[in-house]
Amino acid sequence: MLISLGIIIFLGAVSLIILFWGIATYNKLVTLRNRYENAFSQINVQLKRRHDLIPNLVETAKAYMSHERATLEAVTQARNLATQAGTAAAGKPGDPALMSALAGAEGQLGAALGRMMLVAEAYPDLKANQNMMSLQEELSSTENKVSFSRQAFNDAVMAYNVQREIFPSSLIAGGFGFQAAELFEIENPGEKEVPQVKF
Amino acid sequence: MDFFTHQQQARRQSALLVALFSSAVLAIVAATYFSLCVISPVASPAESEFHNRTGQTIARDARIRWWQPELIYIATGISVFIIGLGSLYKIAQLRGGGSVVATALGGTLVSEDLDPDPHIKQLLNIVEEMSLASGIAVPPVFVMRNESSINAFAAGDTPNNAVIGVSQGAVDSLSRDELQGVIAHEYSHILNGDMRTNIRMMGVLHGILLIAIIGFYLIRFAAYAGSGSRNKNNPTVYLIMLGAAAVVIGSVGLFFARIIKASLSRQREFLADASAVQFTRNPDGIANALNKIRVNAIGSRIKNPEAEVASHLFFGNARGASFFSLFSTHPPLEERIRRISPILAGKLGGKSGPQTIPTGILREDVARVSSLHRESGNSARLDADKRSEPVVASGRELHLAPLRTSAVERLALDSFDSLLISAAHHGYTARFIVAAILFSTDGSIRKQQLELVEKYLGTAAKNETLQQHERVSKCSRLQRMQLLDICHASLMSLSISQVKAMQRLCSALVAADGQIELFEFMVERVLTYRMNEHSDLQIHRRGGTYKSYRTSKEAIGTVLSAIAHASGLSSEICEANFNVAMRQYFPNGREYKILGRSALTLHQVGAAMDQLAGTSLLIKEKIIDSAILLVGSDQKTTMQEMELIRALSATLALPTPAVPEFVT
Repeated sequence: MLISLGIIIFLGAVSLIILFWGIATYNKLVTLRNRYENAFSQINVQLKRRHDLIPNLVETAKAYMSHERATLEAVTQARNLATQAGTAAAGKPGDPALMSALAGAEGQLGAALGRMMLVAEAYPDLKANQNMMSLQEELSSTENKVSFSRQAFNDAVMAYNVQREIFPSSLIAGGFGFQAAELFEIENPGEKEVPQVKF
Repeated sequence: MDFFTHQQQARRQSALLVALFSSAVLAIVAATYFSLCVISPVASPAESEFHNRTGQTIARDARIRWWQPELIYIATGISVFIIGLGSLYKIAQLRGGGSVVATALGGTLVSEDLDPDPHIKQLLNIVEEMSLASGIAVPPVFVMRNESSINAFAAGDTPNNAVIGVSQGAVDSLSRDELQGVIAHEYSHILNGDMRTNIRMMGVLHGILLIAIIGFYLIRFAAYAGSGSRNKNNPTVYLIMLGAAAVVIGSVGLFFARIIKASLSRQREFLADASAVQFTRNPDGIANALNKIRVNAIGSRIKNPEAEVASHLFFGNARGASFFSLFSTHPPLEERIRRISPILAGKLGGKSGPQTIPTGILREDVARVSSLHRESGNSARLDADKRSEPVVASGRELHLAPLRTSAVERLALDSFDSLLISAAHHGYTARFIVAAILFSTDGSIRKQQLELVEKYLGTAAKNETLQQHERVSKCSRLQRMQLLDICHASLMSLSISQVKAMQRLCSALVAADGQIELFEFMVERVLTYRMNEHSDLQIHRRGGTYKSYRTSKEAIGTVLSAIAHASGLSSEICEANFNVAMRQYFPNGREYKILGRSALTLHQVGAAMDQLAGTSLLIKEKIIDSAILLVGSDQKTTMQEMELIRALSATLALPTPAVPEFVT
């Protein structure tokens, strides 16, 4: 009787430990997921601020570079697309399709802005405009903040993905449908071009 | 009414708590044993058959054998295992810091950036003012968006990983003064060391609850498994009985554990109310807040189911007013209001009679506090001869006196450049402020440091840091210290790679000039130890490893010698004060000898502080007590003393204690 009781107790203890480990792992995954979702909202604040600045910038530039309508329209269009992509991504941060769409749209916006700044080089009056200067300053500071919060988001995504993929916890992640999250990397073709034209 | 007395009281109550809970566990073991005794013959049909053969009477006697030593081991094993597992699981979960508890309770982190709501802004301001008033780092603030009742909580196991949580209802419906009273109440839980006890309490309760949960599942499992076979001898009967026993034991255990928890919690609430009044100097704020809970339809009830286990962390009863006052974790609202503000209680009418007022804790406390204030005001006029002797007598009470009002702190907050304060509220810019604080006054070294900033934080950081440096350089040393506290919440919101980059940058900045000065030493220590509490950095605190004074004798001597010398008095007086402080707090105080001023280096002091970080809480608190006594012995605090105290309390993960009047 003692032996069978011993076996029952042993099995009970083992299953209890497994159960507790399972709950702890599940909770940890949920916490990590919440964390990267929160981190995304930080990026979104900065992206929105950036998007809000752009119409003012275009408006200011319009007065000086009326011949460059196409360039300015490209910026406005890229900005609208990026705003849409941002709203979509905020609904489900980390989703691979939405994140790469957002990264693409932001990349396009960066490129369009870069082209506009290049063209603006030819308009010394515009460059000297006080309003333009402060807008540009604010824009670049917002971009720094975006990359700062992007780093935080990518750290959080990385921590979540690692927890999701390492062996014992991957069982829980698979069983409860925790999906892989996507990093947010903006490729900005415009950024690479800038140094070439400086002479 | 100082926080040391309260911490000591909290410690005593923790000891009582441990004793009560251990007796509860013992009772559970005993109950498990007896139920096993009762159940075991049923489970072994072979054994009963054997008795049946020998005779009916013997069989009946044998049915319940009260002495089965082997069952003692099993009973102890099972109960301790289950309670231990449940408690450790919960405690490990809670050790992640206050943010884990806050998220579990449904709180979301708020910041000025994400929440332009003026109410949130006000809440964050209040938290900041309270932090400056109490000398602890500004904690992250969580708001429970789904809770429309009026409630708040503090969670975390050290002041460095503490968080403040507030319900949406409290944010919306309380006035500034009322909210300040509520926040001050939560701060006193942090300062009085209640949080650690609270977390242990939650752990043990969870362990006992686990017994009942397991029993419940055992019954369901057995009923499910047993439904297939109709064999009389099948073990499901045994399992059901075992399960039923576990449910009964668990529930009864929980019943008593809750009574213990509630009674201790109620005492702590009164004390926290009293300390809140002391912080804010405004009894009406907190009294009106309590009154608003009283008249509010849903009061302070929290909907989140997790609130059950955490009910004692809250400002008001999280689980509606209990029909059974024995289970209530908070004293009745009328009683709390009466102790804080008899006038308001009188206006409310009802049962609260003025004849019972003198027994209130608060009255005595406030009277004591104000008399001490008078004392400290007169202290400057103390004669020199009086001074040398009554160090001991007045020393103990010295740190009771400096109670900074929040109004003063609000002024202190106003004296900062508002751009600097708003920069300190963002993780992005707070990094540059910290770097700027560490900048050298020497231009060439500063250039080197700027390059380091560029290396670790990027090109854009260079200009931003220069901007912040312009503002920081206008601040006094004390203000720079306070800036560090204000930056804390923002720094805790950095991600893991950002925190690591920050830590590397700080060490590099400090090392840039090849020598270390006390201020740099303090900043580096405060930042490192606070950031080590970041929930992603899994650095295990070595707290509580050494319980004896003897192993850390040298370290205690080194640290306290440094603090004694920091007073700037002659070495004879320093030595006398050192001896007094040692004898008062350490049983073998005479064995400690003061180290000579020339024999001390900051490197040594740092190593000694690190060693003390590994001692038990009891020793740590005595060290802080004697440090405060040393600082207070001459009724003034020098900048050096203040910096050493800050570095020490950050290393030991204790709140920075209030020190006597500051003299530059």
